[in-house]
Amino acid sequence: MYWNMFWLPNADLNWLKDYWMPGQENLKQSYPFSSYPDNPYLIAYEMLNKSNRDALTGNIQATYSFTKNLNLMVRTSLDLANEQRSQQRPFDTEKFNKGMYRAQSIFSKEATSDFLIRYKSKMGKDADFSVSGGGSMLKNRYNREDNRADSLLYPDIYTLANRAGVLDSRPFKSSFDINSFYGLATFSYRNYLFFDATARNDWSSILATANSTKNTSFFYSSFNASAVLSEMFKLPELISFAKLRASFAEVGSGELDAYKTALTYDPVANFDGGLQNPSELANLNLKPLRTTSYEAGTDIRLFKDRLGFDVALYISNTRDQILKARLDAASGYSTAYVNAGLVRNKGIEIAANGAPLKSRNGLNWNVTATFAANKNVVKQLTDTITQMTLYNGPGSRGAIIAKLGGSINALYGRGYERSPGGEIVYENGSPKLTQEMFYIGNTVPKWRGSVGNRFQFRQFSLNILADAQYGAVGYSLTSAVHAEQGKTKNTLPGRYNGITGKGVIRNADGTYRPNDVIATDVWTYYNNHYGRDNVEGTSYSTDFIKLREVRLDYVLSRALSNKLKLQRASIGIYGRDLYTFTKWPAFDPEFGTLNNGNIISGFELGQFPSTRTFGINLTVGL
Amino acid sequence: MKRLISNPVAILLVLLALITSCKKDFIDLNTNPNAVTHALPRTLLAPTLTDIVSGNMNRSQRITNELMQVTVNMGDTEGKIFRYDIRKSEGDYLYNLWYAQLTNLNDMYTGAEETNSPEFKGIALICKAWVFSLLTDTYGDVPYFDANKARDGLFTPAFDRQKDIYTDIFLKLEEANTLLMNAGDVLSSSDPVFGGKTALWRKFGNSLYLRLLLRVSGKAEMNVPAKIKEIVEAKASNYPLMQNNSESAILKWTGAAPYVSPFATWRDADWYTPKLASFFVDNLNEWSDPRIQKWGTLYQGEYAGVPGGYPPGQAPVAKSSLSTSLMTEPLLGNIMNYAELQFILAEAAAKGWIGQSAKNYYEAGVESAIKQWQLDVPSGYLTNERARWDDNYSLDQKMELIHLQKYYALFFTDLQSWFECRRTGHPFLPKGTGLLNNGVLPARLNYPVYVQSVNPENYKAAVASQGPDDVTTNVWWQRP
Repeated sequence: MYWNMFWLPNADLNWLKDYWMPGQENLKQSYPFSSYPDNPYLIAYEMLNKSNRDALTGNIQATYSFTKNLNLMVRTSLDLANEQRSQQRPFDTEKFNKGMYRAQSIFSKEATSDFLIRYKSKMGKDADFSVSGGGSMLKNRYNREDNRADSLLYPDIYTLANRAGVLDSRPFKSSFDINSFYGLATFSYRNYLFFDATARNDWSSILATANSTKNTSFFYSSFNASAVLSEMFKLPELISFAKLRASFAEVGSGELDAYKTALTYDPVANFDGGLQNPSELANLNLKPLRTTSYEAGTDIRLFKDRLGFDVALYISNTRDQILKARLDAASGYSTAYVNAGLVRNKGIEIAANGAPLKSRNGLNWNVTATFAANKNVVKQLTDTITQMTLYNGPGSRGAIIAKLGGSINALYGRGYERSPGGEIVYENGSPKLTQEMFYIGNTVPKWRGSVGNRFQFRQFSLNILADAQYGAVGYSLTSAVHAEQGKTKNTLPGRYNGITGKGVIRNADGTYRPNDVIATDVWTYYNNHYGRDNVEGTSYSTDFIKLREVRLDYVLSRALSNKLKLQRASIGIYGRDLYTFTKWPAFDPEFGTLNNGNIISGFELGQFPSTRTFGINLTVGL
Repeated sequence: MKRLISNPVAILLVLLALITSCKKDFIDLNTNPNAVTHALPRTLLAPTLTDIVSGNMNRSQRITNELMQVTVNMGDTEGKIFRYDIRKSEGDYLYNLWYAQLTNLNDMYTGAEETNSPEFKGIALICKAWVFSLLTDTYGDVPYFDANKARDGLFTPAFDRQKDIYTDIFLKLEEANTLLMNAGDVLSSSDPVFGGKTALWRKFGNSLYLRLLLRVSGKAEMNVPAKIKEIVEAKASNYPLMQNNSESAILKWTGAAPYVSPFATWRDADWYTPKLASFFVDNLNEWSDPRIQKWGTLYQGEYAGVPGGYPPGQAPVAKSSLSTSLMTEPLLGNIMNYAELQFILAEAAAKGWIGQSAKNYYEAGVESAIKQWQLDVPSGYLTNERARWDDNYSLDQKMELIHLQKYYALFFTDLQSWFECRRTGHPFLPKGTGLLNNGVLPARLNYPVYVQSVNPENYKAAVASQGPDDVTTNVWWQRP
């Protein structure tokens, strides 16, 4: 997708359709405009990634009741999969001049066995209680045979036998077990007081080191209480339901790939017995993360359920979060697994629904709304680190940096050099950029919300759903590259006769005067403003309001349905992702960049256009 | 069954038995079957050298060739190195590569200590000296004494002054020379440069010593002339040097995996994109130097280049480019060749630091540089007006003669010709009017931008001590 930004915007796509040079099919690619990016038709039709997967899932469960109140459940389940993958690239492509063929055979297995003993009983007339205890055992096994021929003898033949060099074989195995014991107790009194408690201990092999299993075990518990006030007391007529709840919960996790707790050397492909250090530093004392959260909430419904609110407030502390921190390469490694001290999340979640109009034969109108806001603060990192780079932007322009007191999703980068008065400093007509990186904004929105409306009149119903997010920024490589190439409108002013930027110039004596130099080198001018090196100028608000879905349905009248010998029938039209109100310069302010299986927010690196969907829906009940 | 369940002691015992087995086999299970925990020195050497030389060639093509007017990657977009427009991100690649490989070289040294192998200790020290010299010559002050200690918990190494780095590099090279004095050979397949012959490593180490002594020779406190005299004359038998072309340090790309040139997988179209510069082509044409036939492509029946540093919007007609046969050329894996050593000695002699004749060294350099490419030196080459040595020339004229030839001997050798031009101002490069940086050859690469955020305190200290982190700041050995 990155290369697509470089295509000529006003060239005929048909010129690309014959993607081989005439007479040199499968040997010479045709690129009428530029030899940098591969021809997109060639990418679509010749660079194939194939997959063939057979999977089997099964489980067996048995329950034995010792008495009416005591039973035992035993269960085992198995998930098996065998997958054949291959990737092929033709000759004369950017990465593989002589073609490529790779094939992987993957076997994966996950077996889980668990048991649960349950005992429930009454205490007196008004109280119920239950106690259960159980355990589980999870075994995960993964085995991959990976053979690669990164150059081929003959074009257009994709087999390992057609390799031009030595076959590069990279087998990979991974195993881990997670064992657990847990217990749960619930107590209820007269259908209006509820209390439950859980306790759990996990043992995860992923945290075992070469000589110790002390970090593999972690215990966590939770307590949850709620009271239905409307059942306990006689409340005013207008309150139809009221509930209060509070909880304390701990969660532990060792979520990670296996083998991150020992220093090892990786074999190097093609070298006889060659070894090399990996670029990520293992952690010989990796601890499980623990999250402790407190939550309080209420659920209130008024006017015979015509109006309802569910409000929740929470605060959670995550300790020892397992993060892959960027290191200065001069330390010998580019990343390290660390347990990051303490990150605190605070937030509120509100869900509301109302029915402003309600009538049997007239217009019905229902509204549902949600709102969620969250703020996170880094309270503590490790003993030796006061700031941690979690992700580096493209060409290390911009980074997600967790600093003490800041957010874990904070975007930093170079930007405009400013005068003490906060104005942009110009030099030779073009804006001057700082050498240092500074805080640009948060990449995770302050809040998200949605509003759904449903109108119903007789057999017609109309649904309109819109949602929004607010308060985050993102770095857009798409807009930067387009601006560098003069493909965006914001690079038009002064293109032919120069432009004087709004800002100041530094005088020789250190004072500033308003910028009075016309930039005739407009390319440098706009490159400094909107080019990729200016992280501040290339970061845009990701605020949006999206019209998520509109649908109109018509339900056939019972009489008509009966005549057609149908139970019921409805027909409807719908459209999804219809419109986005946003200042985001690229396709969609909702984006994620995939990095080694993790989605990184904050950096848009050549996104695909998102799609708009329309459809007709016909439902028939026989 | 009922009785068993209701007996609390029995339940407790069963639970206890289960819990103790909860961690059973965990250590075995979490032992990585895809990797090994120990590495003998001989397993590390070949992949490390291959990665370093590949990366060096890659940047030689991208950076050195452009700065030194070997090629001109024509175009008017930003980041055109031939116009001295160097992106902030340009410094990342080599910094990351070299330090990553130093981790392997350190392990090679410790592995050699554990297995009591002076051979690999010596080789590791020479390789480290080489890589650290590349680092400091490229960036100036860099982490040295604290580098590569993340395993000990040191994530943010301090930057050391270039002077201290060079002083220690010289100690390491002395130590390597001693270690390899009576050393045996190592497994030949483990060493793609010298086939395991430690005597050749020793000669390379001492030749590298001379290269680096010369680099800091502008700093009087380093006492370079005396040391060079000691190596070349007073204690010559203690410091064996490369004797001929076959003793050059070259990772020759045989074409058989893993020794495949990093350019072999390039598309011809990408290789042809940078065009040869006039400076590079014209000298070879004037000397009737046969190397141009191996290095360049013909344009309308002749070898012709484009002027470097032309302003945007005034693109000249593109002419010759680098020959595609270079994409698989074994000799591009050059680390340090015999010809370079001769030019080093020629400069030392011309400056009067050693007694032998500069002319002899110069001519030996010229001849071996051409012969290295399996070519014959054309008759009359050394009497040609522009290649002829004259003892009556001024030192500046002699330096230009030596360094112009040395520039070609350093073809595709990491960033060496740029380092040498920064040090001496030779060869004298014509300056186009489109050059940025006021037409001054960039003096260094900036540190990777991410270092500001991952090692902020030490970065700030380095900038405070060395000067602004940009390409105009001179490194220590460049300063007067």
